[in-house]
Amino acid sequence: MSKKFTLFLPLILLFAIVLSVLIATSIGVVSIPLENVWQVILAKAGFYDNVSISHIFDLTIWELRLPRIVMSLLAGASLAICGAVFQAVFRNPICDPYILGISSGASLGAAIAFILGWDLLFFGITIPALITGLLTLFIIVGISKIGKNRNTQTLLLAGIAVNFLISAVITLLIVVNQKELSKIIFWTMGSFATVTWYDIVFLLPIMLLSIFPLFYYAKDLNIMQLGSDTAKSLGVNTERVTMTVLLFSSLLIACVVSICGVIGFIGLIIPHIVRLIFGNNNRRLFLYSLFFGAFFMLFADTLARTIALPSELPVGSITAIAGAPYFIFLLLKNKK
Amino acid sequence: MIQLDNVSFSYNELPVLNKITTDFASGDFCAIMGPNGSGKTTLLKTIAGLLSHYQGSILIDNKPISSLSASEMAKKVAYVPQSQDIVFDFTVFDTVMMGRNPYQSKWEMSNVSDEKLVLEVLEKCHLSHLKDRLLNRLSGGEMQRALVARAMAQQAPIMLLDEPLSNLDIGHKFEIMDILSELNRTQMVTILIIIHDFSFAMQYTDSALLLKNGKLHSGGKTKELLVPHIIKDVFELGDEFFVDTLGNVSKKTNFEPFK
Repeated sequence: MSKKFTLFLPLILLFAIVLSVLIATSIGVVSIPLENVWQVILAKAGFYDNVSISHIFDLTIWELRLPRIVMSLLAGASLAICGAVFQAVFRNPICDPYILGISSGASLGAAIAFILGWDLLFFGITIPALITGLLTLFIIVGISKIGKNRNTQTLLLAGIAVNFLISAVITLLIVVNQKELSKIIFWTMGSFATVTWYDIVFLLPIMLLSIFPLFYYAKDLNIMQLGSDTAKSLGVNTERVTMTVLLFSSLLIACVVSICGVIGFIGLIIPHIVRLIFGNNNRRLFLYSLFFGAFFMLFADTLARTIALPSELPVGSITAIAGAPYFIFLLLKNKK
Repeated sequence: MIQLDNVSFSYNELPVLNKITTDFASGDFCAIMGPNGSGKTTLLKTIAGLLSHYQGSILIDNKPISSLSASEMAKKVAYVPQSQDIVFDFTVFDTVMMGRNPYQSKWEMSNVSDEKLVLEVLEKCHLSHLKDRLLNRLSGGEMQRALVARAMAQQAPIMLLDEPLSNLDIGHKFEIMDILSELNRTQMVTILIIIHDFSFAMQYTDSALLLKNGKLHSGGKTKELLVPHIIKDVFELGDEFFVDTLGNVSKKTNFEPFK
């Protein structure tokens, strides 16, 4: 890949994402002309007087579609970059951002909130899910820090064990509270249907804060692929890098899951697709995982809300159905 | 240059190194030898600063290694571990460039002088034609040369290598030892290498250190140290084994002794 192309590619992708957002906003139960979408966005930014646009269009674009579209971009980007980070830290191609059980922790909080009827309160599901998600993270890190031999394998195994434990607790909770079964199940499948601008204002700063250390340590993570001993002998503080990137990516994952539920597949597959195209350099991998994750999630969510109108499909099933064949295609192509 | 004083190390209460006291002069090319489990790798890792809970003192250029930062240590000691699986690999060029990490900032991937140096190192290790190939697509010998090249790019005055000749055919073994020998001769790099092959130790190294059960058995000039009775004693070879003056070992029941 030429250097010039590499330099311009992020800009091209950014432009493509903006275009996709406009198109996705115009599609739905009510079809809205692209021109109106553009006008509403310009008007909200203060560049255009939107008196000529109907109130329904304004409401649909600004209050219903744009928040979920923007959230799908942020969530897709977050899941994909965190997947890439987890794979790099654990040097394991089958790792995804949920492997440490953060998502199960968040699901437990959500299940409790549904059972206690907190979903109708002002803080909704997000805050309980976030609290239990982060609590799970601290428990796992605490377990992994016991004893002299602290390594990523202990952390991974602690995560897997806690993941199973929490999943079992959720199942038990569902069994004894069958009334809330459908709510909990639907939440765990992931959806952007209830997203508001407040969720975006909540997630965006955390996302920006979390992504910075991931890029900062990307080069160290490259070196850590040669093994922990080699990395240490090259001046990399492997423990600090591991804990920092895992803490920030887990924080990001906990926030995403607490807002949108558990959307699978993207965190596992997008980093691999990016690897196949751009290689294993983590700095490039993280950057393009952000773009590709955002793109893919927007595509999946647009399909989820339009393919079976007037009802909506769980976005997680779309990510798997659309992504798996493409991933297999890329794998086969790469093999040749 | 490297001084060890009463260095001991235990893994989970199990003693692996027991009061090792020795020193290595600048420009030394030393073979570290001994049976499996004798503590060779632990000794090398301790000197490299990879194991922190050791007892005793290790000085490099008269400074305790515990007082050196990770980056200072990386500028003094390059370490090549035993070969291992690499899941997400890089090109040979990028891998060797990683050797420049101690001299670069977090955001810096490379610069013109580093690129020039890496190309020179690749040339010395006969890897120039493979610079764009992925590490996992190399043969065993090429991979080992690439890992040595990565350590060379570190430009550290001390290089520690843990069994770099294992799994290599005889031609590639000579290739690696020639590269190390030239590095030692021309740049006065102090090299400590774990090898099992006595004849390579005798041909290439100046001194040797023999470990047995975590203790220092003996140390000295390679040719004076690797004599049949010492080899037999360190490796606990019975009377049925024959060791010649070049360090070749044969079992009397299997072969005629080397003449």
